[in-house]
Amino acid sequence: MRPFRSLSARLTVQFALLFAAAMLAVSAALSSFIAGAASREVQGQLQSSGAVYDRLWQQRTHELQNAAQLLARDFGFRAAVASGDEATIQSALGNAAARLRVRSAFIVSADGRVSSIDAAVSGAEAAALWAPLDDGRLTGVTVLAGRPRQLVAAPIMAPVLIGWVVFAADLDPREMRSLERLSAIPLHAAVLASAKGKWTEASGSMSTLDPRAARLAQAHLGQPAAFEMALGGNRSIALAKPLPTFSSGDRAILLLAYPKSEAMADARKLQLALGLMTLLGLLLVAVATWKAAGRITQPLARLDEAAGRLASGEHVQVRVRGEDELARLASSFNEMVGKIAEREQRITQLAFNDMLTGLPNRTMFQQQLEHHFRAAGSGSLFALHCLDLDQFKVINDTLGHPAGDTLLVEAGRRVQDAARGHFVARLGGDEFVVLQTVGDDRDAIDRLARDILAAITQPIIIDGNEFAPSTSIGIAIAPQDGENGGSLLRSADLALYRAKEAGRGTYAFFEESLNERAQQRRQVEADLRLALERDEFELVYQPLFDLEHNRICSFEALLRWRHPKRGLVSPAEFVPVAEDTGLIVPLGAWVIREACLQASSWPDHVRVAVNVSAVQFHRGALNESILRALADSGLAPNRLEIEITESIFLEGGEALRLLHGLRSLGVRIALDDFGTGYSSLSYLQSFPFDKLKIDRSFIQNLLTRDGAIAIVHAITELANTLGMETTAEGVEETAQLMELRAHGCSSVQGYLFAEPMVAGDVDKLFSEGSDALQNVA
Amino acid sequence: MVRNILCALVFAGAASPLVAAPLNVRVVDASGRPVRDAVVTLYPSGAARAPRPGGRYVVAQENLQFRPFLTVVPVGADVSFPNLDPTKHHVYSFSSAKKFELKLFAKDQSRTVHFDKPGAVALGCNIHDAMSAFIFVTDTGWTARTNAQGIATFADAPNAPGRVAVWHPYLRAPGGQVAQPLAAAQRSIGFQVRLRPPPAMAMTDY
Repeated sequence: MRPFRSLSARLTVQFALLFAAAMLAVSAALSSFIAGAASREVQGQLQSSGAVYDRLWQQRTHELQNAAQLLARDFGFRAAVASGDEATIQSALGNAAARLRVRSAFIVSADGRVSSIDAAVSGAEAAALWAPLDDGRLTGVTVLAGRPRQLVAAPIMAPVLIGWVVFAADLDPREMRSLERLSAIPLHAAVLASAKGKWTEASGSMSTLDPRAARLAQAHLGQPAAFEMALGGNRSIALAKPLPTFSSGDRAILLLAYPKSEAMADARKLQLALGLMTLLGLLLVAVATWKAAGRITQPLARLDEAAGRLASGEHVQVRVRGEDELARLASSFNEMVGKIAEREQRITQLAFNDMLTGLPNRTMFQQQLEHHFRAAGSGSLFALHCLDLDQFKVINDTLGHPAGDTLLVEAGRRVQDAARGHFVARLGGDEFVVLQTVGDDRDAIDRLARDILAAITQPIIIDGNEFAPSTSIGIAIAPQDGENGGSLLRSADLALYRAKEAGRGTYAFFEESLNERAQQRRQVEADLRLALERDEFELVYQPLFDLEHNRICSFEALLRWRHPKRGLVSPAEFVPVAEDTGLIVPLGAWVIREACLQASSWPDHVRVAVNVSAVQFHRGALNESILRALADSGLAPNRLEIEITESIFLEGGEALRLLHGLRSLGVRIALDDFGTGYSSLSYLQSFPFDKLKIDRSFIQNLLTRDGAIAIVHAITELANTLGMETTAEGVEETAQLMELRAHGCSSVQGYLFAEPMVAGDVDKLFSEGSDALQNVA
Repeated sequence: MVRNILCALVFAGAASPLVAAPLNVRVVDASGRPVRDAVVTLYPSGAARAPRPGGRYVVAQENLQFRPFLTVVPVGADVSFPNLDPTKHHVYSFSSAKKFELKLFAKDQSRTVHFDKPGAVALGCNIHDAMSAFIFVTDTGWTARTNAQGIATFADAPNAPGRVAVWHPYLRAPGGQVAQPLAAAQRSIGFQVRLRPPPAMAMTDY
């Protein structure tokens, strides 16, 4: 079967064909039954007409025979015949014929003579009847004067047979028509008779005389079944009955025919009605099937269409009607669409939201940023606030990640509250951003920044500990501070750095200079990577003067970078870069090794002090590099002094363990820049430093600021009590030295004694003796 | 053909032609069965012999039948028709040899009819169709009836050519009679005749 593009068409055609086949079969059977019934009906009618004719024939024969016998027995008639009284014979025959309404009557005598009253019948024709008469034939059809006739004879006994009286009744159209009228159906009746091979007929309303018809009739002679034949150009249903003939060579047939068109007229009407009903039924079936198929396929088509729309991203719902399979399919589809939507939302959330805080994530922020840029094409401004929680790392490390997470969630909530109406996202770690749409009022930017700062700095209790979190904010304004999302974010980041530099808990706007600094910084970073390989670093050594023994007791190794183009680069410039990039680790290791190598050539009481960055504690294998440096140089561990700042305590307990480890090796540990920053006394308690280095800010203001001496005194007193040495940094004046000595400071360091010097100068100093310095002291 | 065969048989058993010798006539029907009570008459050429006259001939009506059925009488004989039945009879004949009618005569009445012409006379009763009888009026001395074997014998038949005729009431031939020429020396002749079945009402006993 040809494939259909539509299910309904296929269903319709298939069902219609099926029904059509069934209906056609039924109607064909019915039609054939009707035709058969009609045919049987006609056949029955024909047979009953035949039977009627038989009776008529018998009656007529009987009547004629009675009359003939009556006449033959009449004594006078017999006397007339026996005596050859022709006049009497003629009158008697005429009388009887008239009574019987028979045209022909004659006498055939036993010796073959004929006496007839019908001139039309020749003597020879009548004489030819002698033989059958003599054979005892008394009734039958014969042809006389070219017409079929019914002959009835009676022997004349006087008392022996002297002849026969014969009546010949015409089988004429009138008689046939009366037979036709007797029938219930409008049939055609005819008698066919042949004498000496020549057919004659007597027919009613239709002539049947036609050799073929006669042959056909003869072929079906005496069969009880009707047959079909052509009569006068029409098909007819016919029945042929043999009639007794007078002469043995003759043939006589009663042919009853019924035009098929008439016979089948009723059947045809029925068949037509049946056909119409079949057609109507087919039409109904086709329509009904089409409708039924439509009921099935329409929901399918709707589902198909909905599925298409679903595929193109639309969230569609199909109407559910009824409770059948299709309805269930539709509701399943709807459910599926709902679940897909749900899942999409979830995926979107996962893709665009931060799991921890529920805030939009970096991806969504970037989309939002791009969106703002597109919207900003019309000239409106927007500001990007970049937030970075201060001291987040400390909290995370000291209290653990769950606490850090709590802080982040709370911070996110606070930022969101403060920046209500603006887009807030968490970019990762402790970084948050706020996208602020700005109208004409530029102060709104400041206000928002201040609001955020205020919101963040509210105290928070985590695991029972109260914190006062703070954040720094860098602000960049689009489009002036960045032409696209990336550059705007960089600008805001630079502003954030500046804010951090400016002291935490504040905000800063991006300025172009920040950008320049950033470029410089990137240059420094690039150069730094090459500097180690190119051996551009060198160490200079600044002596520390022991006030108790009045001699140089130690040198602090200071890193110098001799840039091939820029000359000397300040550590303040490159060390933060090295720390940020991690270059500080190899650089720090080099410093320790170099310092140890130098110190190994110095007198035994002279130590070398090396500054170690907090980054080295948590990123580098500090212990390993120290041990290797000591081993390589052969320097005694107690001649190496590691200077650290408070910031390493922010790295957590790991740093403290490292320090203990170093100290157990014999390496000395000094706390640098003491007195600035948090200067928490708890550090002193938690770790037994060998030395405190009093920050140079105290020394510079020692003589000018009230209380400075008291603080220095307190520090030295504290150190002494704890068994720690003290070193005052940045001593430039003799008066300062006097004060420091008076207050028990262990050693001093500064230009008053010596500027930092190259290794060669140190060696020279030891070879020449340290008189100069001693003099100063 | 059958006749020829019979002739051959007759010739085979022929006696001397010059002396008077018995003539045998044998009559069979279509199927070869002997025909009884056929009347055979011989007419030798040039030797006519009148039948012996005299005698009393009676055809009675008894039990609604003629008795006897067949009577052979010479020309000129008188035949009486006594009615022995309690009913009346109406005896008639339309035969050309003798047409007569004895109208309604009662019991114990007898009528006499004179038969003066040769030929077969069929008797009937106008009241009782079933009554039938025949009187054969012969004009030759050589007249005989076939016996049960269908044979009639003329012991004194002249040794001369002639004509032999056979009549039978039901013989199918004009006049109920067939004839054959007889050769001079022929002493035997056979007839094969076709018989009409006797009418249903006719009695079969003679």
